[in-house]
Parts: sequence; structure tokens; C-alpha cells
Amino acid sequence: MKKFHKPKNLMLMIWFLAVILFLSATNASWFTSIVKPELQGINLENAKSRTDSWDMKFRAYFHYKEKLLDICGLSYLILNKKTADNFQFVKDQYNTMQFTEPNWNAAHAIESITVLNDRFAERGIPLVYAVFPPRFNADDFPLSHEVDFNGQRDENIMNETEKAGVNVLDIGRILGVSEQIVFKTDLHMKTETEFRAAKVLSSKLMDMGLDFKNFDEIYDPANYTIVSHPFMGNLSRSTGKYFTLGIDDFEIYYPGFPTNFTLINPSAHLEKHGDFTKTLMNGYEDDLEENPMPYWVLNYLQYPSPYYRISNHNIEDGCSLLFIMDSYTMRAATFLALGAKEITVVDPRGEGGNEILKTLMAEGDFDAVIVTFSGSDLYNAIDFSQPVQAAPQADQ
Amino acid sequence: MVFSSAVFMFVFLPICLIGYYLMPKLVAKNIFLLIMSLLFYGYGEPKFLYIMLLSVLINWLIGLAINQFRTRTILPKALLAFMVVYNIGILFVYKYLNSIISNVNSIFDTDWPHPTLFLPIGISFFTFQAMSYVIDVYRGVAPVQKNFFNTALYICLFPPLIAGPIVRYTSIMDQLTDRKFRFDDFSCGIKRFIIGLSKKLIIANLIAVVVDQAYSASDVGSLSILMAWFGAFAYLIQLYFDFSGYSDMAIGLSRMFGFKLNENFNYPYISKSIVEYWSRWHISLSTWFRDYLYFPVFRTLQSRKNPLTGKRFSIRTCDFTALFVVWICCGTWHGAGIKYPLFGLYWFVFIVIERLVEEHLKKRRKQLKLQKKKSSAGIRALQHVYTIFVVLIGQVIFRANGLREAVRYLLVMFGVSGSATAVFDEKTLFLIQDNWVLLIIAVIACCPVLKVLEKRFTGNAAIALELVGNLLLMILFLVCVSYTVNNSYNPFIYFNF
Repeated sequence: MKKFHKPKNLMLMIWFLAVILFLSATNASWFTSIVKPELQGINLENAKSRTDSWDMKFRAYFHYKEKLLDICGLSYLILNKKTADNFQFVKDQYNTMQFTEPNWNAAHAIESITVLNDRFAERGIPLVYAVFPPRFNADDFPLSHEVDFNGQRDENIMNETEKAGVNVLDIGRILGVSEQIVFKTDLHMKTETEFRAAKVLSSKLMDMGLDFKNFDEIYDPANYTIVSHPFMGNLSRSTGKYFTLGIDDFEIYYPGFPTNFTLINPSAHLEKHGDFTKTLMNGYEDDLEENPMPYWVLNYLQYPSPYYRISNHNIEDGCSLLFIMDSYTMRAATFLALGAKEITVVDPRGEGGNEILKTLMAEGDFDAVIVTFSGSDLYNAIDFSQPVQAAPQADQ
Repeated sequence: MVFSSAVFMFVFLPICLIGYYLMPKLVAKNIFLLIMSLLFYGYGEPKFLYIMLLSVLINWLIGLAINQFRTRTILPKALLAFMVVYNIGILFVYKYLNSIISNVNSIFDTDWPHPTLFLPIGISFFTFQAMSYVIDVYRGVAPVQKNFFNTALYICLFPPLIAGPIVRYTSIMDQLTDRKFRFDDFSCGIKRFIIGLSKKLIIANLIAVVVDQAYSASDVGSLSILMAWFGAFAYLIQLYFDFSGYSDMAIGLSRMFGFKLNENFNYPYISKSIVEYWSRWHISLSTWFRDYLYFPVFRTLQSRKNPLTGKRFSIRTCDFTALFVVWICCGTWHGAGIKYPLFGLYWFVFIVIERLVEEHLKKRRKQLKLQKKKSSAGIRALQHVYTIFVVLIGQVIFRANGLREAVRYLLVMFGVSGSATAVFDEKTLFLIQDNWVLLIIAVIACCPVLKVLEKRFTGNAAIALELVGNLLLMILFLVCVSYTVNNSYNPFIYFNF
């Protein structure tokens, strides 16, 4: 009888084929769903532009991607790596992810805030440029002296805008900077930080003479039920949960006092009525079985819609605020909504957001405008060059 | 499509493997493999398929014609000349024409129009493969391949198609018609593929970040001296592991389909001279130029007389002239632009110097009646340092965006850039800290450590070593799969070829 010759590297061969075939089989239908519509009408001219995106789309929702990313992050840990994605993400000494942001343009930021301030000031509406805490202390993170990072403190922008007459609220200086105030794995701040920042901002508005209600009730943490969920944010999307030696806890603050709101989002044809949770949040906590690790930041408000209004029915004669913001201060805005009569939110990057903002600049009736948007992004989002409609005269 | 992409690993490869091994006979397997190779090449750039197929057809027809008219005196030579003109011609048009027109317009202040031509990927490789086939048929070294599909399969075989190695027809001709499945071949192919994938994804792609930070700086003059050196060193690592990794994957994949290809790299960074370096680096290219350019030029010169003196050219003259021609062409093969022939000239100068030094030493030993002894450890160390230094400078020229920037980069490296140049900076120190583990692994992997261990370990120790090695490869493969799926940064450095 012929002796069976055990092939070399048998274990390796079986492993290789098993991995390739298993992942191919489990992702076959996903790949087919990408390719099938693209194959219709494909020709020599458009073939490259169509097929170029297949690999990226295939990887975006690859089955078992999360587990594979964890392996990726673990290997980075073993290699003592501190960077990922071609230097886009950098892990600092507190294992907090930072995001490099090249081409940060301070001059653009200063100009955009100043112009906004001037336009609203023409109509007697005060503007506050609220600067939320930076993600890190620059002295602790020497690399930040040579590389631009998102969320780093920029004294120059604050000083110059203040010189130009803008009311700058340096919330970062008031709250202090520490690694405890930001998520390790996400660009945004912790809910507790936004809660404290909202308190500082509300206090400032009251100092400016605005009628902000129920300040003590709203800003007493004992009046909330705080529920914590595990959270892996957008800065760990290519490194998984091991790279930062653990992930974050996302806290949701549920008000313990009665609330009654209406939220209207015209672009989404959406109208919501009810309490804080039903109106200002999006119910991610109800879908945990299907989606155990959602992106909790978007559980609030209506990102990325360009414009929506929140009316607080428990306040009859409070203040009306315009928030020009991105996703960074959505939770802070919900806390402010608890003490204001109405909050209008504008994100000029959204479709039509630029036009809406210009209309509000010309016609909107607000007691104050709060800008928390990153100044450089604001400059890119708003077309300041076109003239704004003249405001109606007071005696007409 | 690249080997380290999700589409290749989880769509193309499994379909190719399953389809290939389901085919009952070798003829069917070959046709299936040819179709898959054409799909591989046409994915994303189907317009270039016709260039490759036309090249296959013309070279095949010329091969047939040369074989048919072998006994004639002039016709085979004319056909050979036509083949060379055609292949170099398509290379010239697609690879060099735009650059030449730009340079002419720039130098002579003219306004010649630029044709809208894109470089078909892998054209530098498959034209050279096609040329080697026809030349070998002409020389009688290889029998003509009368089957068009076999010729097409040889030229279009997907594993070495876009980044080499350049496969000689003689090394593969028997395998086209006679391949048997062997588990050992298949499993060794898998092993080789995983090694290549690891080199590319884990070492090359990660160290490429350092290279990009150094070479993509908006002002090269703003780099610190340490960053310039670190970037240059990192590029040595990136280039070797990316290129040799790709060759390993090509060799491994070919083996999975029963083809055994020749090696393309042999630990070039352990070389003690530039001559040795080029015998270990991109071996398929250097041997191609040796066999199809150096020897013909050398022999042609050797058979001729110097028109000025009337005497035959000396061996040294033939040698150096042939080397000059080879290195200018080899440099030019690497890309379009003035820096590439100068890149080739750079290597030529050092090779000539080494040849002359070796000749001188040989003469002195003969005069003093000394035997050639093994160099001391100190001398060998100096030789290694010299070689790495020369290679490092050469690759700076290759990597920089143009000759001017290469010069500026080198000036920064040696602290003579003219502007205030810092010795080191925070970013460089951070990048060194970020990559020191990777660099240690890379430096070790540049040396034939495994080969040495395999020779030293015998019996049970050898079995244990193989087991540990396979376990490590299994883990590495899973890591590579995770990098492939994550894969937001996967530079492809062969777009120039």
C-alpha cells in the first residue's frame, strides 16, 4: 500500500483555505449587491470609475470587520504603534486618540466668526463664540507644537476674534483641560463635559440679561438618571477596541423632571412631540438587541440636517436662541433647550444650510446667537460674499 | 486590482482557485487561468486589455515567422528588429512620450501638444517578457510556442503581470503543458504568499507613513537632518519589503497554480558591494538586461575595430561600454523623466569603480604573490556600511519628486541646505518611537535568519522550528486579513511600471 505522504505545511494550508473561503462565502451576497447595479450599463469608458469604488464599498460593511479591526489594533499594540491610517490618528500618552487636521486656517476662522458677529450686531442680536475645551493640554503633548490636531486650543483665534469685538466665552479655561473630559475613542466630548459646558454657557447668557429658566434644577446632576453604555467612537474605526486599552462609557442623562417639547425638522419632513427622550433623542437605546454598539453621539438631535427648531412648551416667555453648530455640541444644546423657550439649530454644511443661515441672519428673531462651530469649517461652509438681505427697519 | 485588496483576496482568488481545480484537463485549466488573468488585468482598466492582447498576438506571430524562416539570412533579423521596435515603441509611446514632450516644451519654449495617454499598468513587465520569448526563439534557446493560448498565458499570467518577476519563457515553457498538482507545491505556494502579504501589509505599508512624512513635506528644506535620514532609511525598508513582498506573493500564487518561478530577491541588503547588490536585487530585471543587452553589446564591440585606432576594442572598453548602455537603459526602464537615466548612471559609476578596485587588488596580489584571503570582520562591516550608504543615496534619487528635489533632500541630509536646518525635531522623535519595533523586525527580516536557522536545526528541533514557523504564519495571515479589510492606506508604488 502506498504510504500517505503528509504534505508540508498542511496546517497552514487548511487554515489559509478555511479563512479565505469562509470570509468569501459570508461576504458573497454583500459583494454581489455592490456589483450588480454597477454592471448595468458598464462600458470601456466608465469601467474604471465604477470598479474603483468596489473595494472601498466592500470593505466598508465587510462581515466580521469589527472583529478583524480588533486584531488590527492588537497588532499595532504589539508593534508599539501610536499612529494609524497614515498619521491621521495619533494615540497620546493617555491612550486617547487624537485626529490630525492639516491645513488648519486660523485667518479663515477669525474672519468667519467676526463677520457673523457683525451681521447679527447690526440687528442688535448679541453673539457668543463659545470655545469648548480642547482635547489635550499642548504642554503634555509636545507633538502638537509641530502637527495640527483637531480640537487643539488656538489662543490666536480667540484673541483676534475678541479684539474684533466678538464676545468669546472660553469654556475650556473655566472647566480646565484633562484627559477625563474627552472620549478616548471619539472626537466628541463626554456627556458630563457637555453638561458642565452647557451650565457655563447658560450662566453666561444669564449674565448677558437673557431669561434662562430653572437654571438650578437643570444643572443639578442629582435630577437626572444617568445610564452608561459601552462606546467605541469614530477615532477608533480603524484600530478597534484594544488599541486604546479599553473603550469609553457613553453616559446618557435622562431628566428626572417633567419636560414637554416639539421638534420640527423641515428638510426631513419630521415633527416630534413629547418629553425630552422622545423628542430630542433618537431611541438608540431601544434597538440595543439589533445594534449593541451604536454611534451614541448621533442619538441626539438631528445631525446632519441643516436646520431644525426645538420648542419647549414648559416655558412660555423664555429666551430664543440660535445655535450655529456641528455635531460637537449637540448634547449641550439639549441641556440649553431645557431652560430656553426655543432653540433653532443651523448647520450650514447641510444642503441648503447656507441659505437658511443667511435668511436667519437677515430675518431671524433671536435673543442671542451661540456659535460653537469650528471656525475654519464655518468659513468653508458659508458664502459670506453675497449680500445679506437688509433687515426690516424697527419703525416699519 | 492588487493582491492586498479585499476584492482580490475574497472574490477573485477563491473563484480562481475553485474554478482552476474544477477544470478536468490541463488545457481547460490553462484557458481558465488565461481568462482569469485577462479579467485581473482588465479590472478597472479594460481599455488596456487590447494593448496587451495585441502585444501577445504580434509577438506570437513574429515568433512563428522567425521559426518558419529560420534558415534565411536577413528575414529573421528583420523580424527580430521589428519586434524590438514594436515593443520598445509601445513602451516609448505610453511611458515616455508625455515626459519627453514636456521636457522639450520646457527646454526649447515650444508648445507641442500632449497626447492623452495613460500608462497601462505592468507594461514594462509584459513587454520585456514578450521580448525575451521572441529573442530566445530567434537564438534557438527556446522552441517556438505554436499554441497562441499558451503564449498568451505565458505573457498574461496574472501573478507576475503587474509587478514582476519578469518570467523567462525558458523557465516556464515546460510547465505550460506539463503541470501536476502536488500538495507540497500548493502548500508552499500558500506559505510564500502569506510571507509576501505580511511583508507588504505589515512592514512596507506601516513604514510608508514615515516615508510620506519625509518626502511629501511641502518644503524639503524644512525637514530636520534626522528626519531626512530617517525618511531615507525608511524608504529602503519600504521599497524592499513592498517589492520583494509583491514578488513573494507572485511566486506563491504561481505555485498554487503549479508554476514555479525564479527568485527575484536574495536578501540584497546583506551585500558587500554594489555589484553584489544588483545580483540580489530585482534579479529578473538585472539578468534580463545582462542576457539581452549587455552580452549582445559586449560581443558586438568585441567583434569590431576601433575606427580611430584600427585595433580591436579592449575587454575593458567593451565591458564598460556595455555596462554604460545597460545602466542607462535600466535607469530609464524605471520611469520617465531625466532623473531615471541619471539614476542608472549612478549605479554604473559605482560598479565601474568597484570593478577597477577589484582589478587593481588582483594585480597587487599577483605582484606580491599573495593568496586572496577572507576579509576581516572589520573590513566586511565597512563593506556592508559602504553598500547600504550608496544604496540609500541612490534610492533618495529614485524616490524624490524630481532631480531638483533629490538634490535638495540630499543637501538637507548632510546639513548643507543653506537655510537653518534643525538637527532633530519632535515629530521625528515621535515617529522613531512609533516605529522602532517595526524597524527592528524589518532589519532582522532583511537578513537570511531563517535560512541559517534551518541549516543549524536538525531532527526534532527542525520539526519544532517548522511548527513554530507555521503557527506564526497562521497568526500573520489573520493579521494580514485584518489589515486588508481595514486597509485605508495601501500605497501602490508600481504605477510607474
